[in-house]
Amino acid sequence: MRVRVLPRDVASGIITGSVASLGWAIGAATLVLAIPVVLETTARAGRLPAAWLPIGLLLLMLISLGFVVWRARVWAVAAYLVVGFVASTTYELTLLVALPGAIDTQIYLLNRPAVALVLVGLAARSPVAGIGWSVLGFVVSTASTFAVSVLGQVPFRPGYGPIVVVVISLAAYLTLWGVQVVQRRRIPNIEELEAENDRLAHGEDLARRTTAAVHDTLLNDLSIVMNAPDVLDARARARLRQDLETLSGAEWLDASSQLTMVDDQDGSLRNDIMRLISGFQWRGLSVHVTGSGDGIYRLDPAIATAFVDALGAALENVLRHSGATVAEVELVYAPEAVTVMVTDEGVGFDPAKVAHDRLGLRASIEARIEAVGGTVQIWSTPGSGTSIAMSIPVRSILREHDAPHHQELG
Amino acid sequence: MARASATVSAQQLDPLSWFTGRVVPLVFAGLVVLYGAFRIPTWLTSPLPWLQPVGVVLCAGACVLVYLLTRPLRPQLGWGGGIATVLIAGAGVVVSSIGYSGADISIELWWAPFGFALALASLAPYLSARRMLELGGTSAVVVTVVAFWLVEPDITVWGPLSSMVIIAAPIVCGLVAAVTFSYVLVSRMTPIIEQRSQMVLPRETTDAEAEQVERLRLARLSARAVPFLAGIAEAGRITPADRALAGQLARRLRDDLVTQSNLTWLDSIAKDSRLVVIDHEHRAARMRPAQRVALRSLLRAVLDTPGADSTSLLIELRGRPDGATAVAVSMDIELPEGRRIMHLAPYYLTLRTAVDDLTWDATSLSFTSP
Repeated sequence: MRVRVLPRDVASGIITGSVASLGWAIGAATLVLAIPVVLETTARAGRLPAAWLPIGLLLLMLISLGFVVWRARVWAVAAYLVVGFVASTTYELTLLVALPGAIDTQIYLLNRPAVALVLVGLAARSPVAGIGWSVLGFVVSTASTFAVSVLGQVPFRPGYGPIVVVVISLAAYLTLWGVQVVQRRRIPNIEELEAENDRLAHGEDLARRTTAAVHDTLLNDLSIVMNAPDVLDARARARLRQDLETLSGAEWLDASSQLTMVDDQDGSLRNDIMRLISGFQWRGLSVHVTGSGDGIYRLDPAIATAFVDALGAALENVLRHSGATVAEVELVYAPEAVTVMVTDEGVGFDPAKVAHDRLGLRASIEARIEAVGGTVQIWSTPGSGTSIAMSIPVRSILREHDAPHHQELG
Repeated sequence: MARASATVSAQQLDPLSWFTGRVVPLVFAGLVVLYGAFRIPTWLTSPLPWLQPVGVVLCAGACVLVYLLTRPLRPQLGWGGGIATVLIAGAGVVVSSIGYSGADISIELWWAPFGFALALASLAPYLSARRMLELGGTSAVVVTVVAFWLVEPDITVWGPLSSMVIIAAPIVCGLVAAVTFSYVLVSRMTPIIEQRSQMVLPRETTDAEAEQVERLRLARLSARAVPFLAGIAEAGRITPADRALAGQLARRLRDDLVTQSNLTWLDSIAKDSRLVVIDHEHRAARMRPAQRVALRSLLRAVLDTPGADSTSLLIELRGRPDGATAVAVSMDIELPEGRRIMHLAPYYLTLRTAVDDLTWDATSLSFTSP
């Protein structure tokens, strides 16, 4: 896509993910704001020492929430819900012991952790997933309040907080879903329009070829007829015949003749890479992308596909096996090859002892890149992280880089 | 990067999403009304119950104002729009506070801070994180203090600190949500949109239909000349009549070829429609693929607009001294303004990403192709 319009699926994923992020932020704000209320309310009741355990539980939930934001994986969210359930239940029970009347007049104080539990729409990349997480959070929150009513022998009173929050969450995700549906219908399909543009360009190219051919043959021949002597020599007659043959064959219009268009503004590969990286980021792997230079390099489509797939496999390895939460992706451009270096500071491994069934490394990275004429180099030591350098050949250079790379890197 | 993430709004970065996403403030207005109505029983306990619906209308109105201020083709929402929104919503909170002054209410269920929070949140896509923080932070402090001052003396269940925190909590959450949303979204989108790709892929196109059309054109062009030249080649002799006919055929053929080589991609649209193209300098050929795609999609959308007079669509391209191309498009569309804008805005917004100085009024559009 050359238009600087973000692909709609990428934009939708980022917007939905950002809504999930604001859920984390509200959850954290709710927990923080509960602390002064706990302190003052217990102090007014003369039970200040009873405040420390509930405050500790609020802090535990905050730390758990921070962990979820850091890891952002399904198991981390599940762990947060379990920890949150226990912390919320214990928090309410502890406060009810210190403030028995709170169940009647101060439910707001009691249900703060339960409200934070509802705001667990994490890792939601689609509105449907967001709705699922919100409902799950609400169920866990309600279960916590129910456990309090059973264990504390008090009436079941969840309060309005969790309900209001889940209603707002559902309204937000449903609105987002509706917006995305309308968007798919109303926003111009840029890729379709580009394909049409390419077809028109192909038509123009064919017209140019025809014009050139007719000019070089028919028009010149007619000029010969106008200016030649009354009797044509054998050479002139042969030329006329040859030109007519060229026109009747019209090979330049063959269906097999392709028009190759290269646009230096093309961002389709960049979009594919960013789409890939965005997916890993929502799964809990922070990916920092760096690159140098301002040259423009043309790749073969098949090589580009292998490149993106191998990069995905390398990042998958970091996510699944390294234990690291950050990966560095550095793109280095040279006239003959583009190299991507994927580095992590995880547990590392001994490349000599990689099992043959480690398809991620051998089949998904090495075989892919080598099949398109590229090279792969792996550096890793147990305990010292891993670096994978994948180089792929460049078909041509559309614009030279202004300064030598070694100067920049140095 | 961090600075850019805080100073650019989600709408600036991705206007197409917020063209359809602008219903969000309306949904928030609906939530304000819903929650306000849910608290109707408490209205009646206040000395001035009629102030509560006024407050609800003000807070919901603030959300509606955001909706109106962010209509497609309007200027970017700035300080003015943001301040107007928080002033109206803040007035709603103050009116509600005055209404509840002297009444013993459950502040934790008070609708007004919640309404103010939603009004703040409705600004999130349209203001940068920093502006949101400055405007929202200031207004949150002012509104909380005023509401606390008006309502707190009548609160018995909570202490003063708790009352302050409980009043502030929804507002703080709304502000935190808006700032987080804006910052996270912009910081994730910016690298994708701003970084120019250094790797490009060639696209190979074949179109059998276009090739067939071209074969027909070739057959038409050569219909008279080919048999004539074949006859000359066969006979090997040229008569004065042959010379005259050759001259005539050559003139026609040259005219046809010149006409064809002067055609641009814009003329190919004009051929299938009644678009009038004025492009004496063949500037259309200089436009980049992205600009062609965006402009062509807009022209198609205008031509497909119900109520559009397709004969009135005119596009003129002129070179400027700095080498850029000035493009003017005029059209005559009978659709009401709202429907016209909603129909054409996505195409306009797409075009805006590919050209400079784009302006649009009721019947014309102009931009510069760098």
